[in-house]
Amino acid sequence: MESRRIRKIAVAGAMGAISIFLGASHLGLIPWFAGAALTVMHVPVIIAAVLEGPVVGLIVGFIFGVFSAIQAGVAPTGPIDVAFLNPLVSILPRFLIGPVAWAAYRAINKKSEPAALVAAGIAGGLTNTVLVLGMLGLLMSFPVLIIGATDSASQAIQGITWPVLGMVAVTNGLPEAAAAALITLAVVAAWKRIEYGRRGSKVE
Amino acid sequence: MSVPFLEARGLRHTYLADTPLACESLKGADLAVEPGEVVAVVGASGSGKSTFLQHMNGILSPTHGAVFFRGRSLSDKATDLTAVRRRVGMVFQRPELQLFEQYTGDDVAYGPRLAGLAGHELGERVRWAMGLVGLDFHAFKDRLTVSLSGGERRKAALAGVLAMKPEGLLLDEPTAGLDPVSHAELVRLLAKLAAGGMTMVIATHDMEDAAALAGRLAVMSDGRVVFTGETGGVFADAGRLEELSLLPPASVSILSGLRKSGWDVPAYAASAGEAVDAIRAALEAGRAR
Amino acid sequence: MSFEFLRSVTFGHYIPASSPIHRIDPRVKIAAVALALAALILCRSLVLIVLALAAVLVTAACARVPIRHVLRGVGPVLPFLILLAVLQALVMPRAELGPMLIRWRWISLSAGDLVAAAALILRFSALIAAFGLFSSITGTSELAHGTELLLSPLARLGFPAHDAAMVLSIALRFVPLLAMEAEHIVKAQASRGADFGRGRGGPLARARRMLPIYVPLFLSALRRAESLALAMEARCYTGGAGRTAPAGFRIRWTDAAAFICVLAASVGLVLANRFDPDRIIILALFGAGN
Repeated sequence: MESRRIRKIAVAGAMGAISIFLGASHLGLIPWFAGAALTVMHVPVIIAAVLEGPVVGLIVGFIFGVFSAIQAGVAPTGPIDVAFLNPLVSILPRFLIGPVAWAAYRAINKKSEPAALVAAGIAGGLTNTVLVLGMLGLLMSFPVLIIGATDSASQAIQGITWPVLGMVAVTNGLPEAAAAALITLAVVAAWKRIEYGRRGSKVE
Repeated sequence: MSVPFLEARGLRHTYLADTPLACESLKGADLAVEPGEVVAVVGASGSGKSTFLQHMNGILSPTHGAVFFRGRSLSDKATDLTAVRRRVGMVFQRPELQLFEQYTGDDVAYGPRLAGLAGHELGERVRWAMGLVGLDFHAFKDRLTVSLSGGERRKAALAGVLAMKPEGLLLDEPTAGLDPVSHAELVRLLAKLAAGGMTMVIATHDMEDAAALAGRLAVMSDGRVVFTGETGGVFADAGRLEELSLLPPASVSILSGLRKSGWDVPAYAASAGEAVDAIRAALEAGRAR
Repeated sequence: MSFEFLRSVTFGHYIPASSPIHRIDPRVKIAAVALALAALILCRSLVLIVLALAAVLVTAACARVPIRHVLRGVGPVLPFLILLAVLQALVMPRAELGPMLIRWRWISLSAGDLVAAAALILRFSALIAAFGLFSSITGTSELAHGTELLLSPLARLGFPAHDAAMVLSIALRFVPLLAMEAEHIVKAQASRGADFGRGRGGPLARARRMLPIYVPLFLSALRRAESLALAMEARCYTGGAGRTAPAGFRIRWTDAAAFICVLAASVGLVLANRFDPDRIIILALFGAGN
């Protein structure tokens, strides 16, 4: 029992470190078109949850959230970053990435481990996108919490927020979920020595 | 006048420049490597060997000075560094870290595939590279990379670099961490490659390796190449060794110990085997008691 | 591509120095920055924001942290802030406040608009500066210890505070190691001809192109975690209470004084805000209306 707990602590720490590192170094951003980028910083959260359970996923999600807030405060890269200074946007949604990914994984892993990993990646990615964007949208109604915007200004833009957020969810969120699935599959399958896809190398 | 295969002129490099942690790792290093030569770069930890090597295939850019590959400057914007890296392969410390594909065959194929090979040609190249390092193609190509043993992983990583058919190799501590059998195997492989004309620059702490493989020794200290000379000559010169704070390989120590007792044996042998031969010859010729 | 990842994770934040500010107990620092943030969020008035920003900068000076360093994060966002401020001024005029400065076609800018715009820009800057100052004076192990101490009362409620603090410590310790590992991996793959810069293809293709970095990095981290777990077990780590406490973190009167200062300033800021000092000053200077 003790060794299980120690293992969870160590894995949580390691995956938390990856999340922090990917954020700080911009290696966690896959360049997309027109200056935007796909983030994969939620992937360590997903992997931690799949390997060690929902509680570990929660903790790593918390670390991810806190450091994304710190990153937004200390080294922001764009205007949206300032919204991430608000813990409701940066930390609260991230708590759920791990448990949701774990649930998706457990729902399928008895039938097919690779499919379960893909499901976990997609579920985790979508959770991140939907909850963060959703939180941003909700806060438009309570402008004092969106640090900086005045009441009237927020009301003015409220009309267009939900459609805009919806668009971002599709154009960014879906690709991010796919990328998360790919990376989760590749890493966890390697770690647990599970074979997937074509059995054997592509080389003749 | 032949153009050196690789030439470094006055390299200076600072890590983490503009930060409080900045440290100048190279302070003016020079070296010229002729085609087909094997040069061992030796020196204490922190002398800048790895940094130096990483300049030779353009991974790092010097803050001053330049590196030339067959006369072409790597600092020149027009130089295609990716092409240079195919022709000058680099084997890092613990190369097994670079394995990422699910299957071994695919990982070895990564480099050549990026270079444009495909289909049957690619398969042949992978087969050849794996054969060179001693991994049977059919037995290993469908093995999970993570299931390979430590020695096998290193061979796979090496095969990945050799599969690009480089003209030269830069090796950073290639035998570090290997068990004695794998170590000997690797040295034999490198010797075979050298005999086939591969130019090599090997950064190493292991004097036995340096003696066995390198025709020339380049000694680095504090970010500079302070001395280069023919391997035999350097090791045979005890005074010089002391001056450079180098410990000679065992074969040389044995011979020098015997010489001090008055035996008439050569001052240098590149390997234990050669030392034994020299000692036996001296005994038979009555030049020793 | 720059291969120096260590730069991005070690430098850029903590500035080691031995000022009285640096020596404040980490719990107080964390609480102080949280208070400062909350106060700034709730603060509308330009005058108060300027005061707050000045306070942050003065503290930075006392901590012997270069002002330029504390404000580093403001640079990248400044263009966007200005854009946002201009938009706000044009869309939502506070026409009733102060003299009209510009009236051209449908654009009208009053002094009140300019003040609100400046307030927006400076509020963000103050927030970023506060964060910047915090990270300049708090080293990573300090942060870990401080969080652990702050969370420890929760342990009585069953929350695994000590384990959580351990996780944070491990994470912070691993980050520089991972940075060096990442550097190693990226260099090795680049030496095999990989070019991570060029972009083309759909999201899956792009993600797949990054696998040569991600997979080895994750696997390396997991291996380290495994070794660490074995080492912890071998040293009979039991976690939780009973572990020797981090040495020397006691609240001194200087810490308490510092905390009270920040608390008073924050509360003062929020209360003063209710009096809308901007309005008072503008009306005093220019009289009501145009």
